[in-house]
Order: sequence, then C-alpha cells, then structure tokens
Amino acid sequence: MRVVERPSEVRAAPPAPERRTHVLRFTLWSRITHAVLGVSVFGLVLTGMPLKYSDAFWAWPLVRMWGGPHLAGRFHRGFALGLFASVVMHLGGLGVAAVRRRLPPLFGPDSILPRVEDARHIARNLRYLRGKGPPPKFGKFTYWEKFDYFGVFWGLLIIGLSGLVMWFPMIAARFFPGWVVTASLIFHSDEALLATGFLFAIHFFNTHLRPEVFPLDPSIFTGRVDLASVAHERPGWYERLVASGRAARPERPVPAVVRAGGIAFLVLGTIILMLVMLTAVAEVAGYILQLVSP
Amino acid sequence: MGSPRWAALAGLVPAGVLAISATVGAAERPSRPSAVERVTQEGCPSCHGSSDIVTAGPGGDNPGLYIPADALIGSVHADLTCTACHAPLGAIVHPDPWGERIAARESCAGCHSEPAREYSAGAHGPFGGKRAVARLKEPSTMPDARSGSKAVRPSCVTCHGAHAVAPARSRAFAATTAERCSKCHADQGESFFLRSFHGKETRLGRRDVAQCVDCHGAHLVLGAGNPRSPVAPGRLLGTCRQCHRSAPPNFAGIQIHIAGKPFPADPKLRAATLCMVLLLVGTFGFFGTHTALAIRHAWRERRRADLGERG
Ligand code: HEC
Ligand code: HEC
Ligand code: HEC
Ligand code: HEC
Ligand code: HEC
Ligand code: HEC
Ligand code: HEC
Repeated sequence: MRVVERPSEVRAAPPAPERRTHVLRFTLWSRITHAVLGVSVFGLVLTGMPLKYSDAFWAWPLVRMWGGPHLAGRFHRGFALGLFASVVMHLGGLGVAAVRRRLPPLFGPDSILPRVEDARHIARNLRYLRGKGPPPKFGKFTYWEKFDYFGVFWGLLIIGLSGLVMWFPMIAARFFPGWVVTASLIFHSDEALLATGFLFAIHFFNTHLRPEVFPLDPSIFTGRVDLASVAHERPGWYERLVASGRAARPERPVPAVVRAGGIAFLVLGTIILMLVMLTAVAEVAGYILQLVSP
Repeated sequence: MGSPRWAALAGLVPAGVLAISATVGAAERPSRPSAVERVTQEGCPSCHGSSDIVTAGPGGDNPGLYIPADALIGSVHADLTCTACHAPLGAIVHPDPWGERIAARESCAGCHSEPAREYSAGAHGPFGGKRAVARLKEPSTMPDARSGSKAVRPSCVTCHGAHAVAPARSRAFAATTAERCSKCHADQGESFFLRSFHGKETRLGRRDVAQCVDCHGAHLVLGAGNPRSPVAPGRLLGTCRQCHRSAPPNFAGIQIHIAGKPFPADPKLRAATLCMVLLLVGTFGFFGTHTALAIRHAWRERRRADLGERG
C-alpha cells in the first residue's frame, strides 16, 4: 500500500492500471442508501407534483403515466416508504458503525456536523466567488454539502410527518384538531416545492453540473474520488489524508449503464424542474398581478 | 334501412333535413323510431327541425331554436315527446314565447315532484313565481362567474340541461356538476378545485372523492347556518362519514374551503403558510445567489484558462 502521491506526480505519471490515484469517499452502504433515496425522491416528485399543480398542462399526462390519480396516489405512498427506508438504512448503518467503532469522526474539521468554521467558510467562499481573496480550505464536507445532508432530515421531518397525517387522517384526527390535517397539506405541498427546487437546481448544480465534473460526478456511484481533485477542492481534507498516511485506491471506472442512468436522472430532474418552476413562478406572478391591479 | 318507413316519414314531414336526421336516429337506435315519429306528429320539427329556424325570431340568431326530432334520443327522456314539457300547438303558434319558456322550465316538477319539493325548500329555490321570471331576465341561464354569482339562482335546466338530460346518479355527472356550481360560487369552487384534496383529485379524473353535491346535496341546498344543512356543524360529521366510515369527531374540523389567497384568512393556516413562504424565500434566496456566483466564477475561470492556452 503506497501512501498518497502529490497531484502533480499523478498527472505526470504514465497511466498504469494499478495506480493508486483515488481515495474512498462513500462506502458501499452509503451509495446504496443514496440510490434508494434518489429513486424514491424522483418517484415522489413525479407522483406528487401533478396533484399539487393539478391544473398545469403537464399534470394530466403524468398522472396517466401512473395509471390514473388513484394509482398515482398508491405509488406515492410506495415511494414514501422508500424514502423512510433510506433514512432507516442510513441510521442503521451509523448504528452498526458505532458498534464496530468505525464511526466517522463526529468532531474536528472532517466531521459532517456543522461547525463555527463553516460560517467562516461561507463568508470567505462568497468573497472568493466574487474574485476577492483566496478560496476557503474546505475539509471533507463543504458547508453546502452539510446543508444538503441535514436538509434531507429537516425535509423528511416536515414532509414525512405531514404526509403521514394525510395518509392516516382518521388516526390523526383522533389526536389532533381538524385544522392540523388542513395545515399538513400546506406544509407538505410547500416543503415539496422547496425540496424539488433545491435538489434539482442547487444540489444538482453544486455536485454534478459543475464544469469540473460535468455532466456527472461519478463518485456517488464508484465511491472513490480522484486525489488530485481532492487536493484542489478540499485542501484541508487532503492535507489530513496525506498526514494520516491512509491508503489510496486505484480508480474504478463507472459502468456505462450506471453512467447513462445517472445522466438520464439528471436530464429528467432538469425537465421536471423547468415544468414545476414555470408553474410555480406563474402562480406567484398571478398573485402579484392581483395585488397590483385594483 | 327500410324504404317504406323512409317514405312514410318523408310524406309526413316537409323538411328534407329532418328526414335525414330521423333516418340517422333510426339507424342508431332501431327501437326508437316510434318516438321520433310521435315527435314528428306533434308538428314542432316542421319549423324547429330545420336549421333555418336559427335566424327566425326577434334576436335573429338563436342556435338554440334548432331542435331536431331526434333531440331527445340518447337522453333519459327518450320516450317523451315535445309536449310532455311544452304546450301543444294551437291555432296561433307561440302566442307568448316567454311564458312558454317559463312553463317548460317548470314542467319538470310535474313528473319529478320530490327533487322539485327539495329544490323549492333550499337556497336555490323556490320554484316558479316572480323569481322564475327574474331568472329569465338574465341573458343566459349560466351567468359569467364574475358577474352572476349572487344574482341568479340555478333552475333544473342549469344543472341538468333541457333536452340532453343525462342520467343523474353517475359520478361523472356529479363531477360536471361541480364545475357548474363553481361558475356561480367562484370562491368555493376555486378553493375546492385548487386547494383541497377532493377537488384536485376530481380535476385529475378521480370519481370516488367528494363532490360539491356529496357534501351539500343536489336539491335541498342550504347554508351552513341552517341546522338542516348537511354542512351544518351538527351534521357535518355524518356527511363525511358517508365515505369516511369511522371518522372521529375532530374529522369534521378539517377545512374544505380555505378562504383567502395566497394567505388563508384562518389565522393558524395563515401562520403555517407564512412560515413555509419564509423558508422558501430564505433558502432559494441564499442558495440561488450562491449558485449564481458559483456559475459566474466557473465561467470566468474557464475563460481565463482558454486565454492562457491561446496566448
Ligand atoms: C310555424 C313554425 C313553428 C312551429 C310549428 C313551432 N315553433 Fe316554436 N318557435 C318558432 C319561432 C319562429 C320561434 C322564435 C319565436 C321568438 O323568439 O319570438 C319559436 C320559439 C320557440 C320556443 C322558445 C320561446 C322563446 O323563449 O323565445 C320554444 C320553447 C318553442 N318554440 C317550442 C315549440 C314547440 C314545443 C313546438 C311544437 C309543439 C313548436 N315550438 C312549434 C316557430 C315554430
Ligand atoms: C323534458 C322536458 C322537455 C322536452 C321533452 C322538450 N323540451 Fe324543449 N325545452 C325544455 C325546457 C325546460 C326549455 C327551456 C330551456 C331554457 O330556458 O334554457 C326548452 C326550450 C326549448 C326551445 C327553446 C330553446 C332556446 O334555447 O331558445 C325549443 C325551440 C324547444 N325547447 C323545442 C323542443 C322540441 C322541438 C322538443 C321535442 C323534440 C322539445 N323541446 C322537448 C324542456 C323540454
Ligand atoms: C312527463 C314527465 C317528465 C317530465 C315533464 C320531465 N321528466 Fe325527467 N324523467 C321522466 C321519466 C319517466 C324519467 C325516467 C327515465 C328512466 O328512468 O329511464 C325521467 C328521468 C329524469 C332524470 C334522470 C333520473 C335518474 O335517475 O338518473 C333526470 C335528471 C330528469 N328526468 C330531469 C328532468 C328535468 C330537468 C326535467 C325538466 C326540464 C324533466 N326531467 C321533465 C319524466 C319526466
Ligand atoms: C344545483 C344543481 C341542480 C339543480 C338546480 C337541480 N338538480 Fe336535479 N340533480 C342534481 C344532481 C347533482 C343530481 C344527482 C344527485 C345524486 O347524485 O344524488 C340530481 C339528481 C336529480 C334527479 C335524479 C335523482 C333523484 O333524486 O331522483 C332528478 C329526477 C332531478 N335531479 C330532477 C331535478 C329537478 C326536477 C330539478 C328542478 C326542480 C332539479 N333536479 C334541479 C343537480 C341539480
Ligand atoms: C346559477 C348560479 C348558481 C349555481 C349553478 C349554483 N348556485 Fe348555489 N347559490 C346561488 C345563489 C344565487 C344562492 C343564494 C345566495 C344567497 O341567498 O345569498 C346560492 C346558494 C347556495 C348555498 C347556500 C349559501 C348560503 O350562503 O346560504 C349553497 C351551499 C350552494 N348554493 C351550493 C351550491 C352547489 C353545491 C351548487 C352545485 C350543485 C350550486 N350551489 C350551484 C347560485 C348558484
Ligand atoms: C367535503 C365536503 C365539501 C365539498 C366537496 C364541498 N363543500 Fe362547500 N362547504 C362544505 C362545508 C363544511 C361548508 C361550511 C364551512 C365553510 O364555509 O367552510 C361549506 C360551505 C360552502 C358554501 C357557503 C355556505 C355558507 O353557509 O356560507 C358554499 C356556497 C359552498 N360550500 C359551495 C361549494 C361548492 C360550489 C362546491 C364544489 C365546487 C363545494 N362547496 C364542495 C363542505 C364541502
Ligand atoms: C363521496 C365520498 C366522500 C365524502 C362525502 C368525503 N370524502 Fe374525504 N375522501 C374521499 C376519498 C375517496 C378520499 C381518498 C382516500 C384515499 O385516496 O385513500 C378522501 C380523502 C380525504 C382526506 C385525505 C386527503 C388529505 O388531503 O388529507 C381528507 C382529510 C378528507 N377526505 C376529508 C374529508 C372531510 C373533512 C369530509 C367531510 C366534510 C369528507 N372528506 C367527505 C371521499 C369522500
């Protein structure tokens, strides 16, 4: 096992099959969990959005695709179970890791937990992006990745609870007043818009559509990232990797099927985003026009 | 097609147009020609069975006047003739056209006494009298959603139509009725179709969810303040339980019509909406700006790299 090489050496060296140029970023379990999460979210958006915007021109064809509104509702519940499953898988994975004492670091610069340092990174990165000053020295997780990660939990809390209330309104009404069920529809519907917009615009752009990796960041499929890009994008983590002497691994190519599937999802997500956002913007514009006109 | 029948019809009816339409009607429903014949014998199709009639009368352009002899075929009243609802022809044709129209609208009650009685007792009634005449002063029975709302009440014809009356107990009819109700009750219609689960699903074509008439009744329509109304506080739970069998008491507190938009008038729902709007604006505001900056930065970097390569 060779210790990490310098990125310049990596580039200069002639390509050899066993060159250890990559490092593990996502475990197999995390990748499976992410796949379950991703498929569930796509299903939820494709079955739920036509109900939110039931008068949009794309609602009826979408619902037809699922076999009518009743079946679309059943599929929506199925995908919701998938979403819950992904959370259970993740928490379960953390539990097993904790028992085996292989939990990733909870504290320190490579933790996924938010830190004071992140606030500094935000300020510095906003300056850097405007061309003023050096880039922040990101650790293993950037602040927007932490937001993505906790956003899923936050979203699941709102959307999952309100969804359960509407799934079982009879049980909910036994414990809560009726308006809670009505409010659930509001929470569910607006949080869905937030999640759709965030995932397909911001998460997609920040991870996959960046010019460096366009059109797809393969690390979520292979689990491995190129050390050269780690050195460039996450210098803090890179330095600690070098210092720790953790073993590097050879590159693993993305199978063509997986790559095509990933790109198909990205394209599909972008199309959904356009349609949903078009409808949402038109709705808001309608309200504003109503306010302005007497 | 039997030519003797054709000849018999042609001999009875002056208008060739009618002969063709009767033949077509007979071809579609072989058991019905007697109905068309009976209608024809009453004499109305000799004028109303020709499309020339459209330009007759004071307005000069009334497509509604064109009622061919087979107009009732396919409706629930296929066995009736014109004079079941209209006065028969006398020596003078239509001495009082308006009066005849009112009489036709009120003819329904003669055979359908139960719906008529309920209708008269509800907020859309009563039947006949001055109110019926007032209704006729409106240019159309289906007023424009914005102008007509509180002025015009629906008559039997508003919901069922006059000649193409469809079977009423089908879910499809209940769904089209919901659209008709919304023409006059625009606010409740909008909150139903755009913001309630039942309405959104209806719009997507589902038929088992609640329609206006499932909660309000079709004929005995009453305001929520009336204790006999199915949406009165005391009876609402029972109304929901028609479909939600084991609904607990709180179930009736679930609002169906959310008044006010974009922010609901109800303070709790308003607070919920405000929270979500703030969250949306905050998240998209921050990350939208962030992403825009990142795109600009990436673009600049690339241009710099290009220039470096060339120079
Ligand atoms: C001689 C031709 C003629 C015959 C026969 C005739 N109608 Fe008419 N009908 C008319 C004309 C013309 C009008 C338009 C009158 C007007 O608007 O002033 C009219 C109008 C009507 C109207 C609308 C009244 C209104 O509100 O303006 C009804 C209802 C009607 N006819 C029913 C009948 C029925 C039912 C019969 C058969 C029993 C019949 N008509 C036979 C010529 C005829
Ligand atoms: C089930 C009862 C019923 C039957 C049967 C019926 N009508 Fe009518 N008809 C009505 C009613 C009610 C109106 C008034 C509609 C309105 O005011 O919107 C009407 C209106 C009319 C009009 C005027 C339409 C307009 O919009 O100006 C004509 C013409 C007419 N009927 C002709 C006929 C003829 C011809 C027949 C026989 C083929 C016939 N009707 C059978 C109930 C009936
Ligand atoms: C001469 C009596 C008569 C008159 C007048 C009459 N109807 Fe009917 N109507 C009937 C009969 C009989 C049936 C039953 C047809 C069947 O069940 O096949 C019927 C059926 C119906 C139905 C369908 C009921 C169901 O169970 O689905 C509706 C709706 C209806 N009529 C509405 C009207 C309206 C509206 C008018 C006035 C414009 C009217 N009727 C005038 C006799 C009449
Ligand atoms: C506001 C709309 C509306 C008006 C006005 C209306 N109906 Fe109905 N009617 C309906 C609907 C909706 C149904 C189906 C009810 C159901 O599904 O139980 C119906 C059902 C019926 C039926 C068949 C079922 C039954 O209850 O017997 C008849 C007959 C009928 N209506 C006649 C009339 C007559 C006559 C009038 C005028 C007095 C009238 N309707 C006015 C909406 C209306
Ligand atoms: C042609 C227009 C029109 C149509 C169609 C119509 N309504 Fe109405 N409705 C009225 C009018 C007018 C009133 C009386 C309002 C008043 O008294 O202030 C009314 C009253 C009511 C009320 C009582 C409201 C109150 O404040 O007391 C209810 C509930 C109602 N309608 C429900 C319905 C339903 C359900 C339908 C469809 C099946 C329907 N309406 C179709 C015009 C219409
Ligand atoms: C699931 C049951 C349900 C359905 C479906 C429904 N409503 Fe209502 N509606 C109610 C209840 C409960 C109320 C009384 C509380 C309120 O005003 O929100 C009401 C109130 C109303 C009122 C005002 C009555 C008053 O006393 O002020 C009108 C008008 C009305 N609805 C029309 C409609 C129309 C039109 C439709 C269909 C487009 C419809 N409703 C569908 C349950 C329903
Ligand atoms: C004509 C039948 C019918 C009536 C009446 C009816 N509902 Fe429903 N409702 C349905 C059906 C069907 C569903 C869909 C259930 C499913 O898909 O699992 C539903 C779903 C719901 C839901 C769950 C969806 C959501 O948005 O949370 C609620 C809440 C609800 N109804 C409330 C009511 C209330 C409150 C009333 C009485 C004012 C009522 N319903 C009257 C048929 C009805």
